[in-house]
Amino acid sequence: MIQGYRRPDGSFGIRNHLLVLGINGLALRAAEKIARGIAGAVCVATVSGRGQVEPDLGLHLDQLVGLGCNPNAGAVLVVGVDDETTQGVSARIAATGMPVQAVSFAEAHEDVLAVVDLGTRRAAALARLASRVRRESVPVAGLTVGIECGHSDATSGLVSNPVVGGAIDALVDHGGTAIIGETVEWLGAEHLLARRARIPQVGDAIVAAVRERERMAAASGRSLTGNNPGEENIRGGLSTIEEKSLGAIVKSGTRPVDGVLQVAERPQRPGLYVMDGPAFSPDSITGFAASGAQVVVFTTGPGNSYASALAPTVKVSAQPDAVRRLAEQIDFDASAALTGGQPIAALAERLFETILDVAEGTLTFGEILGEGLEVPTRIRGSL
Amino acid sequence: MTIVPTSADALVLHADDDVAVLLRPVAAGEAVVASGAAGPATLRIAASLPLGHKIALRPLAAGSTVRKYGEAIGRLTADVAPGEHVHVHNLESLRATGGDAAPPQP
Repeated sequence: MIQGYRRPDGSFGIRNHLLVLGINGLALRAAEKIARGIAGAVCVATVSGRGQVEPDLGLHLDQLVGLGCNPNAGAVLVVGVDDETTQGVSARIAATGMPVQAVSFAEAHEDVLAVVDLGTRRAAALARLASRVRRESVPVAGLTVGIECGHSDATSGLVSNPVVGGAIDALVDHGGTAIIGETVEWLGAEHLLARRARIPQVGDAIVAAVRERERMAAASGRSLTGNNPGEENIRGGLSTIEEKSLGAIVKSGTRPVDGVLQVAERPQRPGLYVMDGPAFSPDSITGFAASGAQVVVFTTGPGNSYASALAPTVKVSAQPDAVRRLAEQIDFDASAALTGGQPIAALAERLFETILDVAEGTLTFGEILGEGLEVPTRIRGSL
Repeated sequence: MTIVPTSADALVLHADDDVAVLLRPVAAGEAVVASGAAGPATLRIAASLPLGHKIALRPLAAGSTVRKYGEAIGRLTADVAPGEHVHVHNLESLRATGGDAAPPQP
């Protein structure tokens, strides 16, 4: 058992944020101003919101609603422009039992100062309400961990990802849930993921998802090399997408794959899932947070500054140089496997303990440095 | 799960592999010990390389498939001598080349 915040939908949070959720680019600054007026509030605001068509529109709204339902939020203020979308998003979040209020430019007759005033008042009341929830004993099995790698180098596949894989095996064995995303980084290793599918349909869906990304890459008319692996990967010794993928999927551990999720889709049962989504860390990690992940474990070689605003992001590196240079940015130093003869299994056990520690309130450097952001992914341009 | 031995300079991850991964930066002309899945081998380094880069375990021919983790990671575009750097200058992806390459079977 760990100490967490129980939520009305049966999940639990590991943080108890007031979330100010800007759901339209026109409301972004107002959402930021409201959040600045409330101590400890977290602001998540999209830059998009008009002219979107399906399937982009539905995906965008699903991500915003999913972020609003993340159990690390104790209450949510939705900041929108038009009444219909603002009420629609609010109602979908409120359906989970989450305390929600909304403010829109429509109700304030497009007066941004009035939106900020009304929003600050409503947010203050919500912050008071959320503060009444106390940490209590909750099962580790209720944890959902998103697993990401960014700016990978050869130490990622050699050490960091195996260490994370060991910790994820421990989480899944405790009855918890883990999600690995970044479909294009299964390319060349998808047969190994598919082999671990709980049922054949899941394996077929994994291979199909990779083929679709491969088709997208080919349709762009450019080779993946230079894009993925990117410049930092190549400098770190990774030569091809196959090599990067083979190192990347190791972070999913060794347990059976229970299903393929779409971006922002919440797993219906505990277990290990793959999310068919983009590889860029901000988009990918936002997908995990929108699917209810309370924690993200993020491996990197030379360092990567991105962190989720809602899900504390535990940075792991085994690069001896990076962990020394970025002592106040890397949360978990796995370099001892390279330089100090530490077995991977021992580091994996320590990482699992670190995840539980962060779940109970220890701050990640991303939280301390205020680097948190959410970036809903887009499928194509707006009208 | 991989065990990283600290006594070695480079690691062979799988018995079928054609390359070793450097566990520390190495200088041109150095003799490095690659250990791991295929047993220890001593290799003369052709050029200085950073940690994490790959060196060939044996002579490898242009056009041949290179294995790491026991899996195909690409195809050589030039002949490679033992101890020589294997990277983007002589290794290309077998995939994402226009969608004509078949994915490995599960």
